Amino acid sequence: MSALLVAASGPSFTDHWRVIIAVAIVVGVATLSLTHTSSRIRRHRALALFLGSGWIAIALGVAIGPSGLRLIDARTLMDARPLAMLALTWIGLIVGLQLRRAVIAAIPSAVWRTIAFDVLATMAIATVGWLALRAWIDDARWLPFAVTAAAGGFLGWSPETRSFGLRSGNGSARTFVQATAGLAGVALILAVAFADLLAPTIEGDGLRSQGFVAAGTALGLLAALGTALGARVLLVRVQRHQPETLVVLLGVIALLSGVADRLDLSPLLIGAACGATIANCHGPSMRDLETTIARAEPALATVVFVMTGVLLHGTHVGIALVVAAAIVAHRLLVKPALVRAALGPAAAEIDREIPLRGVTLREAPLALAVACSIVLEHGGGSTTSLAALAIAAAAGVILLPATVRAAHTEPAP
Amino acid sequence: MKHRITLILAFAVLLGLMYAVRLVATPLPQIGVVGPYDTDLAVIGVGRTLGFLLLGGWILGELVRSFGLPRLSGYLVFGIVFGPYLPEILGDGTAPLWTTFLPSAHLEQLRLVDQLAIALIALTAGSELQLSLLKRVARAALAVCLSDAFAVLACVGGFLFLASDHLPPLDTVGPEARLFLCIAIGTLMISNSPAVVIAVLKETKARGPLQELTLAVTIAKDLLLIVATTALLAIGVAILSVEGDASADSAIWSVVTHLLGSIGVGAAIGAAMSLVLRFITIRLELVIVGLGFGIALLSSALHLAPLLVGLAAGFVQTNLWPGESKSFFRGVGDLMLPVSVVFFANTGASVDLGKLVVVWTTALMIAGVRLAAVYGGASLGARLGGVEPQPRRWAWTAFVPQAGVSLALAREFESTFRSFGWAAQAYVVLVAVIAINEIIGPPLFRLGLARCREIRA
Repeated sequence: MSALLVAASGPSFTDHWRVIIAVAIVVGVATLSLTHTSSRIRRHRALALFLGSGWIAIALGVAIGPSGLRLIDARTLMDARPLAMLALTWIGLIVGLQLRRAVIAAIPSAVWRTIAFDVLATMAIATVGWLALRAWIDDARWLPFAVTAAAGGFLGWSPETRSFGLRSGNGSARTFVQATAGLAGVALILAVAFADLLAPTIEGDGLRSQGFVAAGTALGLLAALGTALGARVLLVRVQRHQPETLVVLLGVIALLSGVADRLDLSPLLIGAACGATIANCHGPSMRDLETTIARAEPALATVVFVMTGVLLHGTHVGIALVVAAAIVAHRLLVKPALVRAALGPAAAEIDREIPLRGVTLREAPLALAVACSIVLEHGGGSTTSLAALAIAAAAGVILLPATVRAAHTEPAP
Repeated sequence: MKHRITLILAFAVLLGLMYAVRLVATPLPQIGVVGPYDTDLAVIGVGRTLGFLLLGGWILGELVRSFGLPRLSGYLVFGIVFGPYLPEILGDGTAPLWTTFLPSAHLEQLRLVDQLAIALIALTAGSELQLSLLKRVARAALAVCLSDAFAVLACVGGFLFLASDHLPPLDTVGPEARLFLCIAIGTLMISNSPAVVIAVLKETKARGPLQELTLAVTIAKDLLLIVATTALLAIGVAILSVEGDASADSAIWSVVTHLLGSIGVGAAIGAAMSLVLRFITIRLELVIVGLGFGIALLSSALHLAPLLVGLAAGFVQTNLWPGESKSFFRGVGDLMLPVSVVFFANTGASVDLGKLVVVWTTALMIAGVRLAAVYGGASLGARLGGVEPQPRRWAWTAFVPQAGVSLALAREFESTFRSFGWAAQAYVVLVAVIAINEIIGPPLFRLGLARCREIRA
């Protein structure tokens, strides 16, 4: 879809066809994913694992991007920035919708402990990584952001549980996996905002003062709160129909994405703040809005995966492989131990339903969205971080069946 | 009253937010690039402009609607007031009075939505054209179309020719060019706006003889105009010895390929979509948006008329595979509102008030003559076509609005004759007349529908 902006601005005939082919491929794949056959395939346990991880869309992005057929080039990327910001704001909204007060209050303490352990471990890894890289790389305003992007690979995990063969009502394991994944997503978004606030000081960024970033962040959050409340008032006052809900939703998302872009903020943070406000507003109009927001999730996931593939250009493959190996090793060896320590005796119960090592192995898809937003905003070494996340995600999917088999054959602790 | 106050307050908050962001954000340099991918400064914050267009346009539309006017007028007025031209003409000549929230560079980026809007409007119009309806109104539609076209051409062309000694740019050109220019402006004034007609019909959920007649005539006029303007441009090129090859053969060939190509490609798309819709029944929005952009891109690449392509696609789908297309067109209807808000607000923002101010007397006279001609021509055609008394009386209101199609034709005319000094002046006059009709057209058409008691919403 991003390629359309170029077509609209009047390229040559050949450019037109390049763009048409790129759009046809993306829309074709997205359309195929909406067919009944595709839905049936996705319900299959093994295929859910492979298709749900988005590797087809990432491969598609690489194929049509600057590293492949160059149907989408640097100029298209440049022009597609507003659309990318829009998609990321929407993803932020979906993440924020999870922050309903009643839901948060019902989260068991084990989940909070797990999140705390996970965040602390990730922060330690990120700090060590940043100090090591800082000694090695001289002038790099993008360094804190690249490290934050890579840190996303260490934090949280994929909320997808279907590939473990679980059915609904299958105990507390599913709740634990999904609640922790959701909260880790929020923590990751907050980490990006934190890096944004910290970066001007630690890297001496002459372009952005800390005061500017703080004022911008405050205004961005206020805008998120204001637009969500405004949307509620408007939707209560006018007749509540699908087209009106869509206008308000698109307007709010576009406005917030533009505000984030103009104030140099993470669209995910602003989106999440707005989503959290919507989730905590009462009334049927807000529930309609929530449904409309959530409906776009599969399409947005496809967009992020394709965007990841397209942005994987000009990366340092060696470093990406090293970071990816570190992510996989952490997820395979360190994280299960951390989770067991956090859960205490409850770990054995969850392990019986889902092998914890399998849960911790797979990276959260949101990490890719966060990395894409950082690449679009700051570039530099962040592209290598994105590549590391994509490699680690692929490795997680490949290693999962063997990990789960091994976990089943292990003697109980 | 409470409803209006809420809308006004919401609009005030929106404006406040736009101002606050401008205050806090560091100013961008006027030219250059930023970011890792050398992002063009023109695209920074486009989302904010889009959001302002959507929310601001929609709120103003709702406000205007509460006074009994079409929402469409609200979108247009929003675009005009907050667009880039009003601050310029209200300024002191050296600097605009205020900086617009809808900068031209951002609006240019959002032209993409216009293409989607045209495709969706055409698909909707095509879907409304049931074969049974066409059979029912064919005679009346043909009579109104031809009578209206002839009246506008004769009256506007005749008026311009008679007053040509006093009207710029006609007073400065030779007799051949003068005659051609009168006929050309007369022909371009025949066009009306399918987008406005469809949008007003959708908004009011109108059903009845006037709605049926309007749809059929608008589409018939579109076909007629493609033939007429292609022929006109070819004749003009030959008479005025414009550089380049433009033989009669090439003009005919151009008309044939344009018409048949558009209809053929549209029919093929309609058939393909019906096939696709057998397998997909969920989340049709993605398919619809993809199809809309597909129509726009393909039409641009193959030099076809996107309106005709969409019309043919919608017509084929709805008449040959009605079962499969029902949920699809419901989805198109849901998407029409946001797309229309952006399209018409952007159209309003592109009304160059500076040009309108310069030629307003000429523009007002031409618009007045056109209005009279449309009234006479459409009423006579409706009488000849055997239309019932009430819709016959109000049929003319549907053919007053002008917008995108008219502007595109005017632009094509200007680019063809750019080597002549009068082309640019004539273009300014045309744009000014179109702007007047754009503003007065939608409320008039709504009035016509209301008087015929066809409004359902």
